Amino acid sequence: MLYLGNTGDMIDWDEVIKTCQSRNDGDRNTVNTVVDRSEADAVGDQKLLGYYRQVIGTWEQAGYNLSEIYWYDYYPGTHFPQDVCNIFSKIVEAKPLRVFVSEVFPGVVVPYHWDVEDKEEQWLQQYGNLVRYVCCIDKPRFASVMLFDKECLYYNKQGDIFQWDSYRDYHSAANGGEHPQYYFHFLGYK
Amino acid sequence: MKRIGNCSHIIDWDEVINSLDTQVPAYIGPSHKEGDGIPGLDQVTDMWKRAGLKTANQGGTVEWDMFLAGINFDMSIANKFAEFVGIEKFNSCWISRINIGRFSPWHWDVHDNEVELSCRKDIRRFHCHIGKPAHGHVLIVEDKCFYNQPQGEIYEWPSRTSWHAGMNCGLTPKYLFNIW
Repeated sequence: MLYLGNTGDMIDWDEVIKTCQSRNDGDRNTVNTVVDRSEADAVGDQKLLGYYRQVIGTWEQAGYNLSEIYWYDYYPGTHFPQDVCNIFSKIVEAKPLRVFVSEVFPGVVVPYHWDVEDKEEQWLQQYGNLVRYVCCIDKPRFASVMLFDKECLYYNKQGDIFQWDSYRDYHSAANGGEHPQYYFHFLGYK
Repeated sequence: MKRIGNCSHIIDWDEVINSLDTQVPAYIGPSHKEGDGIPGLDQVTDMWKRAGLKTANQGGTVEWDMFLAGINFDMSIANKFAEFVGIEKFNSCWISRINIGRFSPWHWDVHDNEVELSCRKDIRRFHCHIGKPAHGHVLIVEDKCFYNQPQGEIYEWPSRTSWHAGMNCGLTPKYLFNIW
Protein backbone atom coordinates (compact mmCIF):
# COMPACT_ATOMS: atom_id res chain seq x y z
CA MET A 1 0.00 0.00 0.00
CA LEU A 2 1.31 3.37 -0.94
CA TYR A 3 0.03 6.50 0.74
CA LEU A 4 -0.55 9.13 -1.95
CA GLY A 5 -1.92 12.09 -0.05
CA ASN A 6 -5.12 13.63 1.13
CA THR A 7 -8.12 14.79 -0.88
CA GLY A 8 -10.03 16.33 2.02
CA ASP A 9 -9.86 19.84 0.59
CA MET A 10 -10.54 18.77 -3.02
CA ILE A 11 -13.71 16.70 -2.65
CA ASP A 12 -16.53 17.22 -0.18
CA TRP A 13 -16.65 13.66 1.07
CA ASP A 14 -19.27 14.43 3.73
CA GLU A 15 -21.59 15.43 0.90
CA VAL A 16 -20.82 12.22 -1.02
CA ILE A 17 -21.62 10.14 2.07
CA LYS A 18 -24.77 12.12 2.73
CA THR A 19 -25.88 11.56 -0.86
CA CYS A 20 -25.24 7.80 -0.66
CA GLN A 21 -27.08 7.62 2.67
CA SER A 22 -30.07 9.33 1.13
CA ARG A 23 -30.37 6.70 -1.61
CA ASN A 24 -32.37 3.56 -1.15
CA ASP A 25 -31.29 1.98 -4.41
CA GLY A 26 -27.64 1.17 -3.73
CA ASP A 27 -26.52 -2.26 -4.91
CA ARG A 28 -27.01 -4.69 -2.06
CA ASN A 29 -24.28 -7.29 -2.34
CA THR A 30 -24.67 -10.75 -0.89
CA VAL A 31 -23.13 -14.07 -1.74
CA ASN A 32 -26.03 -14.61 -4.15
CA THR A 33 -26.38 -11.18 -5.74
CA VAL A 34 -22.72 -10.70 -6.63
CA VAL A 35 -22.83 -13.83 -8.75
CA ASP A 36 -26.32 -13.13 -10.14
CA ARG A 37 -25.23 -9.69 -11.32
CA SER A 38 -22.02 -10.96 -12.80
CA GLU A 39 -21.71 -11.39 -16.54
CA ALA A 40 -20.18 -14.77 -15.82
CA ASP A 41 -23.58 -16.00 -14.76
CA ALA A 42 -25.22 -14.66 -17.90
CA VAL A 43 -22.73 -16.04 -20.39
CA GLY A 44 -21.72 -19.13 -18.43
CA ASP A 45 -18.08 -18.09 -18.22
CA GLN A 46 -16.73 -21.00 -16.20
CA LYS A 47 -13.39 -19.37 -15.42
CA LEU A 48 -15.05 -16.27 -14.01
CA LEU A 49 -17.68 -18.28 -12.16
CA GLY A 50 -14.80 -20.32 -10.73
CA TYR A 51 -13.28 -17.18 -9.21
CA TYR A 52 -16.54 -16.34 -7.46
CA ARG A 53 -16.97 -19.92 -6.31
CA GLN A 54 -13.42 -19.96 -4.96
CA VAL A 55 -13.99 -16.84 -2.83
CA ILE A 56 -17.37 -18.02 -1.55
CA GLY A 57 -16.02 -21.54 -1.02
CA THR A 58 -13.23 -20.16 1.18
CA TRP A 59 -15.82 -18.44 3.37
CA GLU A 60 -18.01 -21.52 3.49
CA GLN A 61 -15.08 -23.76 4.37
CA ALA A 62 -14.02 -21.41 7.18
CA GLY A 63 -17.51 -21.71 8.64
CA TYR A 64 -19.06 -18.33 7.85
CA ASN A 65 -22.80 -17.98 7.97
CA LEU A 66 -23.07 -16.73 4.40
CA SER A 67 -26.41 -15.04 5.04
CA GLU A 68 -24.72 -12.61 7.46
CA ILE A 69 -22.41 -11.23 4.74
CA TYR A 70 -23.67 -8.18 2.92
CA TRP A 71 -22.62 -4.68 1.95
CA TYR A 72 -23.83 -1.90 -0.31
CA ASP A 73 -22.14 -0.25 -3.29
CA TYR A 74 -22.97 3.16 -4.76
CA TYR A 75 -21.90 4.23 -8.25
CA PRO A 76 -20.92 7.61 -9.72
CA GLY A 77 -23.43 8.98 -12.16
CA THR A 78 -26.11 6.78 -10.63
CA HIS A 79 -26.00 7.28 -6.90
CA PHE A 80 -23.59 10.20 -6.47
CA PRO A 81 -22.30 12.85 -8.87
CA GLN A 82 -19.99 11.75 -11.68
CA ASP A 83 -17.85 14.82 -10.93
CA VAL A 84 -16.46 13.10 -7.85
CA CYS A 85 -15.04 10.33 -10.01
CA ASN A 86 -13.69 12.84 -12.54
CA ILE A 87 -11.90 14.89 -9.90
CA PHE A 88 -10.45 11.79 -8.25
CA SER A 89 -9.33 10.51 -11.64
CA LYS A 90 -7.35 13.72 -12.17
CA ILE A 91 -5.81 13.53 -8.70
CA VAL A 92 -4.45 10.00 -9.17
CA GLU A 93 -3.81 10.57 -12.89
CA ALA A 94 -5.64 7.40 -13.92
CA LYS A 95 -8.66 6.63 -16.08
CA PRO A 96 -11.60 5.01 -14.30
CA LEU A 97 -12.91 1.55 -15.13
CA ARG A 98 -14.91 0.66 -12.06
CA VAL A 99 -15.55 3.18 -9.31
CA PHE A 100 -17.83 2.84 -6.31
CA VAL A 101 -18.43 3.76 -2.69
CA SER A 102 -18.78 0.80 -0.33
CA GLU A 103 -20.95 0.85 2.77
CA VAL A 104 -20.61 -1.66 5.61
CA PHE A 105 -22.96 -1.46 8.56
CA PRO A 106 -22.02 -1.93 12.23
CA GLY A 107 -21.75 -5.58 13.19
CA VAL A 108 -21.01 -6.72 9.65
CA VAL A 109 -17.88 -8.24 8.18
CA VAL A 110 -16.95 -8.62 4.56
CA PRO A 111 -14.48 -11.48 4.89
CA TYR A 112 -11.19 -12.21 3.20
CA HIS A 113 -11.56 -11.93 -0.57
CA TRP A 114 -10.34 -10.29 -3.75
CA ASP A 115 -12.63 -8.34 -6.01
CA VAL A 116 -13.47 -10.60 -8.89
CA GLU A 117 -13.91 -8.36 -11.92
CA ASP A 118 -16.04 -9.48 -14.86
CA LYS A 119 -14.13 -7.46 -17.43
CA GLU A 120 -10.64 -8.09 -16.04
CA GLU A 121 -9.27 -9.97 -19.06
CA GLN A 122 -10.76 -7.54 -21.54
CA TRP A 123 -9.37 -4.56 -19.68
CA LEU A 124 -5.94 -6.13 -19.28
CA GLN A 125 -5.81 -6.71 -23.03
CA GLN A 126 -6.97 -3.18 -23.76
CA TYR A 127 -5.05 -1.19 -21.17
CA GLY A 128 -2.21 -3.32 -19.87
CA ASN A 129 -1.84 -3.19 -16.13
CA LEU A 130 -4.68 -2.01 -13.89
CA VAL A 131 -4.31 0.23 -10.84
CA ARG A 132 -6.49 0.40 -7.78
CA TYR A 133 -6.92 3.05 -5.12
CA VAL A 134 -8.92 3.35 -1.94
CA CYS A 135 -9.88 6.59 -0.27
CA CYS A 136 -10.94 6.90 3.38
CA ILE A 137 -13.89 9.20 2.86
CA ASP A 138 -15.43 9.32 6.29
CA LYS A 139 -14.11 11.05 9.37
CA PRO A 140 -11.98 8.81 11.60
CA ARG A 141 -14.37 6.32 13.18
CA PHE A 142 -13.61 4.03 16.09
CA ALA A 143 -13.61 0.27 15.51
CA SER A 144 -14.08 0.37 11.75
CA VAL A 145 -11.34 -1.19 9.63
CA MET A 146 -10.34 -2.26 6.17
CA LEU A 147 -7.66 -4.95 6.11
CA PHE A 148 -5.07 -6.15 3.65
CA ASP A 149 -2.62 -8.99 4.13
CA LYS A 150 0.04 -6.70 5.55
CA GLU A 151 -1.78 -3.51 6.47
CA CYS A 152 -4.83 -2.17 8.16
CA LEU A 153 -6.65 1.08 7.45
CA TYR A 154 -7.91 2.47 10.73
CA TYR A 155 -8.71 5.92 12.00
CA ASN A 156 -7.28 7.53 8.88
CA LYS A 157 -7.85 11.16 8.06
CA GLN A 158 -10.87 11.89 5.92
CA GLY A 159 -9.65 12.00 2.33
CA ASP A 160 -6.51 9.85 2.68
CA ILE A 161 -5.73 7.93 -0.53
CA PHE A 162 -3.78 4.70 -0.81
CA GLN A 163 -2.69 2.81 -3.90
CA TRP A 164 -2.95 -0.95 -3.64
CA ASP A 165 0.11 -3.11 -4.30
CA SER A 166 -2.00 -5.02 -6.83
CA TYR A 167 -5.60 -4.52 -7.97
CA ARG A 168 -6.12 -8.17 -7.01
CA ASP A 169 -4.98 -7.75 -3.40
CA TYR A 170 -6.91 -9.79 -0.89
CA HIS A 171 -8.76 -7.62 1.60
CA SER A 172 -11.60 -7.60 4.09
CA ALA A 173 -13.61 -5.13 6.12
CA ALA A 174 -15.18 -5.13 9.56
CA ASN A 175 -17.24 -2.60 11.40
CA GLY A 176 -17.45 -2.91 15.18
CA GLY A 177 -18.28 0.75 15.68
CA GLU A 178 -21.29 2.99 15.85
CA HIS A 179 -21.42 4.43 12.33
CA PRO A 180 -21.65 2.83 8.88
CA GLN A 181 -18.29 2.51 7.17
CA TYR A 182 -17.59 4.20 3.83
CA TYR A 183 -14.69 3.86 1.39
CA PHE A 184 -14.32 5.18 -2.15
CA HIS A 185 -12.81 2.61 -4.53
CA PHE A 186 -11.23 3.30 -7.89
CA LEU A 187 -10.07 0.66 -10.37
CA GLY A 188 -8.53 2.11 -13.50
CA TYR A 189 -5.52 2.34 -15.74
CA LYS A 190 -2.72 4.79 -16.41
CA MET B 1 -0.34 2.00 24.49
CA LYS B 2 3.10 0.88 25.46
CA ARG B 3 4.89 -2.13 24.00
CA ILE B 4 6.33 -4.21 26.82
CA GLY B 5 8.07 -7.02 24.95
CA ASN B 6 7.55 -10.53 23.68
CA CYS B 7 6.97 -13.56 25.87
CA SER B 8 6.84 -16.34 23.30
CA HIS B 9 10.16 -17.68 24.59
CA ILE B 10 8.71 -18.34 28.05
CA ILE B 11 5.15 -19.43 27.21
CA ASP B 12 4.18 -21.91 24.51
CA TRP B 13 1.09 -20.11 23.25
CA ASP B 14 0.40 -22.69 20.53
CA GLU B 15 0.03 -25.30 23.24
CA VAL B 16 -2.28 -23.04 25.26
CA ILE B 17 -4.46 -22.39 22.20
CA ASN B 18 -4.55 -26.08 21.31
CA SER B 19 -5.76 -26.90 24.82
CA LEU B 20 -8.56 -24.31 24.53
CA ASP B 21 -9.65 -25.56 21.12
CA THR B 22 -11.18 -28.65 22.68
CA GLN B 23 -12.83 -26.89 25.64
CA VAL B 24 -16.17 -25.29 26.28
CA PRO B 25 -15.56 -21.63 27.25
CA ALA B 26 -16.23 -20.58 30.86
CA TYR B 27 -18.86 -18.28 29.42
CA ILE B 28 -19.82 -16.42 26.28
CA GLY B 29 -19.67 -12.64 26.18
CA PRO B 30 -21.14 -10.15 26.59
CA SER B 31 -21.90 -11.02 30.18
CA HIS B 32 -23.87 -7.83 30.86
CA LYS B 33 -26.97 -6.51 29.22
CA GLU B 34 -28.99 -3.32 29.05
CA GLY B 35 -30.55 -2.45 32.38
CA ASP B 36 -28.11 -4.42 34.56
CA GLY B 37 -27.60 -1.30 36.64
CA ILE B 38 -23.82 -1.24 36.69
CA PRO B 39 -22.29 2.25 36.61
CA GLY B 40 -21.03 3.03 33.11
CA LEU B 41 -22.74 0.11 31.40
CA ASP B 42 -25.31 2.30 29.68
CA GLN B 43 -22.49 4.08 27.80
CA VAL B 44 -21.84 0.79 26.05
CA THR B 45 -25.37 -0.58 25.71
CA ASP B 46 -26.73 2.76 24.47
CA MET B 47 -24.07 2.92 21.77
CA TRP B 48 -24.70 -0.65 20.67
CA LYS B 49 -28.41 0.09 20.49
CA ARG B 50 -27.83 3.23 18.40
CA ALA B 51 -25.61 1.23 16.06
CA GLY B 52 -28.07 -1.64 15.77
CA LEU B 53 -25.56 -4.13 17.14
CA LYS B 54 -27.10 -7.39 18.33
CA THR B 55 -25.72 -10.41 20.13
CA ALA B 56 -25.61 -13.76 18.36
CA ASN B 57 -28.52 -14.86 20.57
CA GLN B 58 -30.55 -11.96 19.19
CA GLY B 59 -29.60 -12.89 15.63
CA GLY B 60 -26.57 -10.58 15.39
CA THR B 61 -22.82 -11.06 15.31
CA VAL B 62 -21.76 -9.82 18.76
CA GLU B 63 -20.23 -12.77 20.57
CA TRP B 64 -16.96 -13.88 22.08
CA ASP B 65 -15.76 -16.84 24.11
CA MET B 66 -14.14 -16.38 27.52
CA PHE B 67 -11.54 -18.77 28.92
CA LEU B 68 -10.45 -18.12 32.48
CA ALA B 69 -7.11 -18.65 34.20
CA GLY B 70 -7.33 -21.46 36.73
CA ILE B 71 -10.40 -22.89 35.01
CA ASN B 72 -9.65 -23.24 31.31
CA PHE B 73 -5.89 -22.85 31.40
CA ASP B 74 -3.29 -23.29 34.06
CA MET B 75 -2.78 -20.51 36.58
CA SER B 76 0.98 -20.96 36.07
CA ILE B 77 0.57 -19.30 32.66
CA ALA B 78 -0.96 -16.21 34.29
CA ASN B 79 1.72 -16.17 37.00
CA LYS B 80 4.54 -16.50 34.50
CA PHE B 81 3.08 -13.68 32.45
CA ALA B 82 2.58 -11.47 35.52
CA GLU B 83 6.20 -11.97 36.50
CA PHE B 84 7.35 -11.15 32.96
CA VAL B 85 5.50 -7.82 32.89
CA GLY B 86 6.39 -7.01 36.49
CA ILE B 87 3.12 -7.11 38.37
CA GLU B 88 2.92 -8.86 41.74
CA LYS B 89 -0.83 -9.34 41.88
CA PHE B 90 -3.63 -9.40 39.39
CA ASN B 91 -7.39 -9.33 39.71
CA SER B 92 -8.47 -10.80 36.45
CA CYS B 93 -6.91 -12.96 33.74
CA TRP B 94 -8.60 -14.47 30.71
CA ILE B 95 -8.18 -15.45 27.12
CA SER B 96 -10.82 -14.23 24.71
CA ARG B 97 -11.67 -15.98 21.50
CA ILE B 98 -13.49 -14.28 18.66
CA ASN B 99 -14.71 -16.74 16.11
CA ILE B 100 -14.89 -15.90 12.44
CA GLY B 101 -17.45 -13.26 11.52
CA ARG B 102 -17.98 -12.32 15.16
CA PHE B 103 -17.37 -9.08 17.02
CA SER B 104 -16.58 -7.71 20.38
CA PRO B 105 -17.76 -4.24 19.33
CA TRP B 106 -16.62 -0.91 20.66
CA HIS B 107 -16.88 -1.01 24.47
CA TRP B 108 -15.01 -0.78 27.70
CA ASP B 109 -14.92 -3.64 30.19
CA VAL B 110 -17.54 -2.67 32.73
CA HIS B 111 -16.96 -4.77 35.84
CA ASP B 112 -19.54 -5.98 38.37
CA ASN B 113 -17.44 -4.28 41.02
CA GLU B 114 -17.06 -1.03 39.09
CA VAL B 115 -17.77 1.32 42.00
CA GLU B 116 -14.85 -0.01 44.06
CA LEU B 117 -12.52 -0.55 41.12
CA SER B 118 -12.98 2.95 39.79
CA CYS B 119 -11.38 4.33 42.97
CA ARG B 120 -8.18 2.36 42.50
CA LYS B 121 -5.20 3.96 40.82
CA ASP B 122 -2.82 1.00 41.01
CA ILE B 123 -4.35 -1.19 38.32
CA ARG B 124 -2.27 -1.99 35.24
CA ARG B 125 -3.73 -3.80 32.25
CA PHE B 126 -1.92 -5.75 29.56
CA HIS B 127 -2.80 -7.82 26.55
CA CYS B 128 -0.80 -10.35 24.58
CA HIS B 129 -1.23 -11.50 20.98
CA ILE B 130 -1.06 -15.23 21.51
CA GLY B 131 -2.03 -16.44 18.05
CA LYS B 132 0.20 -16.26 15.03
CA PRO B 133 -0.53 -13.28 12.75
CA ALA B 134 -3.52 -13.95 10.50
CA HIS B 135 -5.54 -11.94 8.03
CA GLY B 136 -8.65 -10.42 9.57
CA HIS B 137 -7.63 -10.67 13.24
CA VAL B 138 -7.93 -7.18 14.70
CA LEU B 139 -7.76 -5.59 18.11
CA ILE B 140 -8.42 -1.90 18.49
CA VAL B 141 -7.68 0.06 21.65
CA GLU B 142 -8.76 3.69 21.43
CA ASP B 143 -7.18 5.03 18.22
CA LYS B 144 -4.61 2.23 17.87
CA CYS B 145 -5.08 -0.81 15.70
CA PHE B 146 -3.17 -4.03 16.42
CA TYR B 147 -2.89 -6.16 13.34
CA ASN B 148 -0.40 -8.77 12.20
CA GLN B 149 1.34 -8.63 15.57
CA PRO B 150 3.98 -11.31 16.14
CA GLN B 151 2.91 -14.11 18.49
CA GLY B 152 3.76 -13.20 22.09
CA GLU B 153 3.73 -9.40 21.69
CA ILE B 154 2.65 -7.61 24.87
CA TYR B 155 1.19 -4.13 25.29
CA GLU B 156 0.20 -2.18 28.37
CA TRP B 157 -3.07 -0.25 28.16
CA PRO B 158 -3.50 3.42 29.06
CA SER B 159 -6.24 2.32 31.47
CA ARG B 160 -8.22 -0.73 32.56
CA THR B 161 -11.27 1.06 31.20
CA SER B 162 -9.91 2.03 27.79
CA TRP B 163 -12.46 1.68 24.99
CA HIS B 164 -11.63 -1.16 22.64
CA ALA B 165 -12.98 -3.65 20.12
CA GLY B 166 -12.04 -7.00 18.64
CA MET B 167 -13.08 -8.34 15.27
CA ASN B 168 -12.47 -11.34 13.12
CA CYS B 169 -13.05 -11.17 9.37
CA GLY B 170 -10.44 -13.84 8.70
CA LEU B 171 -10.54 -17.58 8.29
CA THR B 172 -9.46 -18.85 11.73
CA PRO B 173 -10.44 -18.07 15.38
CA LYS B 174 -8.64 -15.15 17.03
CA TYR B 175 -7.22 -15.49 20.55
CA LEU B 176 -6.07 -12.75 22.94
CA PHE B 177 -4.62 -13.03 26.44
CA ASN B 178 -5.72 -10.31 28.89
CA ILE B 179 -4.68 -9.51 32.44
CA TRP B 180 -5.14 -6.71 34.96
